[in-house]
Amino acid sequence: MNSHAEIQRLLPAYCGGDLEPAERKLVEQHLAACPSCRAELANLQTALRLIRSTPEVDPPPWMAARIMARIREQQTEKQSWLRRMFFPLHIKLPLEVMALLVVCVGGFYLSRTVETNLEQAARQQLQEPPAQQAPSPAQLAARGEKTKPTAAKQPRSTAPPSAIPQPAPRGEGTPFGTAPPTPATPAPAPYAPAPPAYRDQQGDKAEPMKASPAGEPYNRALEQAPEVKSKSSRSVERRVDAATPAPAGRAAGVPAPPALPQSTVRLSVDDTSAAPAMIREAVLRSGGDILEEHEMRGQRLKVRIPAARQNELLQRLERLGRITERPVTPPPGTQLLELTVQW
Amino acid sequence: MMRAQHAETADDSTLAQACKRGDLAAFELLVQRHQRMLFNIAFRMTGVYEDACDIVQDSFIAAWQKIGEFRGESKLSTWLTAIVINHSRNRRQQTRQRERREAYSLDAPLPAGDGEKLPDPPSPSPSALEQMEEAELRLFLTRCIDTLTAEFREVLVLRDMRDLSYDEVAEALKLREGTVKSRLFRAREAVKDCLKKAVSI
Repeated sequence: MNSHAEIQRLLPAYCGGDLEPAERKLVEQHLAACPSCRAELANLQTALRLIRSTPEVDPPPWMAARIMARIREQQTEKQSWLRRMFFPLHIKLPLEVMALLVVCVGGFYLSRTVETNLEQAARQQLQEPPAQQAPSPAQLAARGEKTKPTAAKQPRSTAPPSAIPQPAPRGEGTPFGTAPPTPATPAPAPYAPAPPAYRDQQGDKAEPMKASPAGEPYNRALEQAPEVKSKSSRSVERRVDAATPAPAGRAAGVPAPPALPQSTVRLSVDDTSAAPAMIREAVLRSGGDILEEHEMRGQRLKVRIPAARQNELLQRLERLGRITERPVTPPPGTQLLELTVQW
Repeated sequence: MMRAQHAETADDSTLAQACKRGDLAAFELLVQRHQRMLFNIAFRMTGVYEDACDIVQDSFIAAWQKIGEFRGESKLSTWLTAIVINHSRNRRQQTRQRERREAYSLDAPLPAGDGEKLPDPPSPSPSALEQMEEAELRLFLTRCIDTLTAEFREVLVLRDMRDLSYDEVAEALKLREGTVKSRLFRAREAVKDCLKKAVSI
């Protein structure tokens, strides 16, 4: 420990005051006797003094501002990046969920509304019969004409075969089946066109009910709720009255009295694309209402007009194209009539 | 963005907490408070003023980005010092790689040190350094410090130039205190030897 080399190794620590008192004492004792170590220590002390007295340098005055500017710049970049990354998560996702909810809730209420409408329609029909009890022969004939093609169409309906056995319990179980004065149950095989004379009001209603072109959903609902059964079958029957299947909501929503005389106007037009709008206008100008529009086929319009103005409408239609089939002249005393315009 | 008014006297850890909540004003205070110290460390580590500017800027930006990692176990200044030291090391490596790539460029000046062959023998008279002009000595000192390897320069700059405590140096460099001391003493010795050689030309 006392050797010259070892003391020399301690000098860098000694010159900086980094030695323990015991070691310091050893070094000092050696220094007193060793000129070369004293020289080395002097050099070390000079070096250390220089190092320790190294002057401070001023940072450029713009440094802090520059740093903050760069950080703020990054911050905004980061925010826009975050916005891009997280908006789909935070905003779009809820939007999707909301859209789904709206669809679900909307669908639910729509189905509820349709049901309510069906119910109202059922009540209306229960109240209406007295007013409709004496259809004129012409009306019956017209209706017979109309229903025949309908019956022929029925096999094409969406009703599954399983729906066929259902009519019997349905007809019996509903108040509707028992209320009218005439025999309520027509032949169990109502798919054959019924003779016009057979078609009193009850038959008119009960028959299509069994031939129900209603879709599967209806049938399911019917099995669960007998009351709904009668309602929906009535709406179905109204559709049959209208000679063509129409969306259930619309059929149920239009409170059309079923006993109006019906007939058909066939029109040959040149411009089929403009025809619907022009025909509609002709009907409205003749004081008529549009009952149904068959958008799917696009060439058929069911309207209701005052019987007195049928000729007026025909004149207007003649201006649009050639009339290939003229409607039946309404029986005297008819107020309103239903007309199917085809083109 | 939270913006609170901070007193100039608010301590570093309080400001650091505010920074963690995104308070830029608090960070600005820290920048103003520590930029000089950090700049001098960076300057003594690289020896190049412009490099030191870049290092300090980059270090503060890095500090802002990872302020969440500051646990408060050490002083904030020590934490910042560690960041500056790391950036200085990286910068020096990059510079050296660039110099190596440009070594064969005809336009480039000859690398320093090639021309000056320092004689080996020790100085003839004791305390020869004391007889040198101060300004000249400083010039030599700068060169000598530049010849030190990074690990020696780091301890010398932090402890003897910037007067950090051994604790702080050990913390900033992630070294044990014993290692810091042994490196420091060897660095002093190396600087002394380098100066002696320079003087005795």
